[in-house]
Amino acid sequence: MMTPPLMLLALVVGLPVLEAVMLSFDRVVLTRPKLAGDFTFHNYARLVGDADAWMAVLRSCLYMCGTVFGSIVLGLSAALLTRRIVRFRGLWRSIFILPWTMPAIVAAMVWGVMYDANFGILNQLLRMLPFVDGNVEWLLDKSIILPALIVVQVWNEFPVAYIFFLAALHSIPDELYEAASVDGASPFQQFLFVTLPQIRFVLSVIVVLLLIFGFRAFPVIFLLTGGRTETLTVATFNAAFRSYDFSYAATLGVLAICVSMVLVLIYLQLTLRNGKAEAAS
Amino acid sequence: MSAGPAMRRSAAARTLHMVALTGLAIVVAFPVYWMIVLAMTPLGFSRQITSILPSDLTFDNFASLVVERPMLRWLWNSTLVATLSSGISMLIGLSCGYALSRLRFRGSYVVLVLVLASQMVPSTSILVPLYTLFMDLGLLNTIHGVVIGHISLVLPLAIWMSKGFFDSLPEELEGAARLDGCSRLGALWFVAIPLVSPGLAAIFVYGFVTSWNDFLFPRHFVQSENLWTAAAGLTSFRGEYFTLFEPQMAASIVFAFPVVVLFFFLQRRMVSGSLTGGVK
Amino acid sequence: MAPIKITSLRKAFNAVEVVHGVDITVEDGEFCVFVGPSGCGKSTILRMVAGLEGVTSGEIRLGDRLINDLPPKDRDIAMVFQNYALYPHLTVEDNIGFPLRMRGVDREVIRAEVRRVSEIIGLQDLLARHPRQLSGGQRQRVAMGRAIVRNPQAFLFDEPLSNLDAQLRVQMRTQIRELHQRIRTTTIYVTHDQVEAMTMADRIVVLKDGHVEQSGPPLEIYDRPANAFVARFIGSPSMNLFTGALTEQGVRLDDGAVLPLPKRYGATGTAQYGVRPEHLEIVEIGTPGSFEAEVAVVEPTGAETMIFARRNGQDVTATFRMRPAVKPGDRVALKPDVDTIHLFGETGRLD
Repeated sequence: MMTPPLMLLALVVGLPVLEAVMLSFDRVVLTRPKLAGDFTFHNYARLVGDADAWMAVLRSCLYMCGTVFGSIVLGLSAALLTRRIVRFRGLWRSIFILPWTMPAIVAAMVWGVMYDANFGILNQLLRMLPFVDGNVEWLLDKSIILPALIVVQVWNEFPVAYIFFLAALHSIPDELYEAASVDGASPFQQFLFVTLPQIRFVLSVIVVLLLIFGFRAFPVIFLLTGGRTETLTVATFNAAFRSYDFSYAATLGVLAICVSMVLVLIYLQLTLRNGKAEAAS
Repeated sequence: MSAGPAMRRSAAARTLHMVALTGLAIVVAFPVYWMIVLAMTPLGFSRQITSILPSDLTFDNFASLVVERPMLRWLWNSTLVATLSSGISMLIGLSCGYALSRLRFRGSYVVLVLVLASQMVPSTSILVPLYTLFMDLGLLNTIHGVVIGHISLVLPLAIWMSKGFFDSLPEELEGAARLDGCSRLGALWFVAIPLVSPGLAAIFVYGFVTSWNDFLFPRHFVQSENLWTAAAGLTSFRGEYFTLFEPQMAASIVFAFPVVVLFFFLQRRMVSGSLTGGVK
Repeated sequence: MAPIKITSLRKAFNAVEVVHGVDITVEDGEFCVFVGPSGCGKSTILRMVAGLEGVTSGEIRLGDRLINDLPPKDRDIAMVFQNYALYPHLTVEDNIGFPLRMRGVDREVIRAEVRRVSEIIGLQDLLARHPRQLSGGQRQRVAMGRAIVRNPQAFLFDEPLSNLDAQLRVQMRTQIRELHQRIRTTTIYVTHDQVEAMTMADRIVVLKDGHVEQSGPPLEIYDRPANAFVARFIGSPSMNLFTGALTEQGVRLDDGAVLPLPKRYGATGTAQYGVRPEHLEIVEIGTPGSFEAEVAVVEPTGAETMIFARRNGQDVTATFRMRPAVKPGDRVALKPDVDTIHLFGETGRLD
């Protein structure tokens, strides 16, 4: 009775990946849109020598690291600030979860409007300050665009870190803090020697999870730059729907699949090992 | 930072805490606030905003969505696609999750890893092969093509979640039901499913939101604007009216509203369950 | 009601065999307790009888029927689980009525039956509650109610009392016994607690590592354990066992003390000399047939006094009705009652 659903699973989940691999070893372009069946390493050879593609990979890495760092700092700060709040607790929490409820498209639209060089609120605010150039080209200036995109992504996804951290902080018994303060630890020392060790596991899980999110990110980058800033996902898209080279796009896609497999394996290693440790104790 | 409950905090520390908290909250909430303000500003007026407080509120921008663009049609398409793809994913996810949770067979761990991995794969990596596949199958430019595409986005996590829910049910419950006169299927129907139904609701909502939010598949599988979902329609705004902030923001609000409502509806569950099964 | 006959039963998970050809017969109406340390296969056997685990080889018969391959629902067996396995989404009334509902019994009949059963187990006031609103003991009773409501051929209990606190456990023990005396259904009861086994069983089956070590009425097993394992496992505090060389005079321990035997045994070689704590008496130091030990702890429980002593690195336990005047640090001589000792060789009991 269990075989049909599992077959369906293989079909829905396995087939696209299989097709991607087959495409990547073929030459399927707009004018020749069918699998020809002639096996070629052409696309992989091209990938090895494609400086733009590796730049995209590098940009993906920067983007991942930036979003992970930003989300963790912001999420942990928000969690530490709201953990012992009693009054309007639900309201404060809702505020910090609110950005996550925004679809990525909406996040991109809103920040796109705020980033607008002429009429955007950010530049308008900057112009009110003395000695500041209020004409920042947030989404055109090559040195600013990546951080600007990271800010949007962080705003959108830091609540994930916030929720995890909040749960982790709540699971730390109060007695630990009482013991630490009796032992003479300052608040900062308490954070260092009580809080941090207790949330270390959750921290590592969030890092990997956010790395995965950051790597997958597409809507924010694509919508805010129109696809001009190429990360690996955007490069995949552009190869398919700008150059109409489906085989090369699939090759980039397969590369992305490999990277995410590695990340997933790290994630599973982390969570399963901890699961076992908990079961043993 | 993390003052212990045993310590009395000074008034200065409390003030600092409140200032930091309020400041952070304002920064985080501002984009949403600004979206609402702009959406209710008369067309073109957002260029000369002099204050961050709203003035001259209007609902014209919302009206123009319906009059000048097929927003209602798109919302209806979104509802249809999201309901179908999440409903189907929930059913398949339910059976696969149950199988993976209850039946130990060779390679079930591998299947599980692959399921999770396929959830984490960038959707652009799936978009391309599905595009050529659908080209062959004649599924481009159809609503059911989009539904199938979204199922492939939602299903892995649906399976993963439903396996988690079934894992948390003690196996004895079904054992008891089988001794009490149920077949395996009967035990699933009378005992297991009623108990995981809150989880199933969560899967449905997750699938609905994922499908609702996705613009890649509807925008690129479907040419005719009539068949677009709201997400696809919304992204077209940014391309066409680059500087018409007000309708963009109004459309964003209309688009985000159902998702935000669903989200807060489920918030409690998400906070408590985030450590056990939590992936977005 | 029917006897359960288990013949050459084996169970292997993948390549690992955990039950190695077990033969057990539970007579009609008998209360049979499977006891053994964790991992001995007792629960696996029970689950095979229930049909929740497949049988690798061998036979399970309920009455005349071979039930090896019957699905659980067709076996007419009821089971009470360690965690009770109450359906959390159903009320007490619906939980108890569930087996009848599954059999398509008429609604009114179900109501009446549930009432009847709930009076037997004293739950008539709690029928509208959900399991989460009940205490541990009440949940336990609901689980029993669900088992008895359909008059099954046999009851299976899988460590049903291990989640209860000590006092409640004693109470429930009596209740389950009473219930059995009233309805006389063939019962298999699995536990790791030998006190439960001793107090409840008509017959005990002692299991270890997937083998039956001994089977018989509780007192027979207590008085004549078949081997050193059963000797140590049954009885609390457990039997003292001394390893030594079997000689004409008795069992010679490595420090030279000789423990007396009631008669001569033909065998020679290494043997284990067993004496229950209540069969030791304090005698004057130097008395023949006694050994010396240093008292470590004295535990008066009121009715008896327990003495924990150490002899040559080995713990010795003795219990006394009277209250001996000894204190920790004293050296005492302990003499086994020759007529009640147990002697075990490599293969089992020697007499």
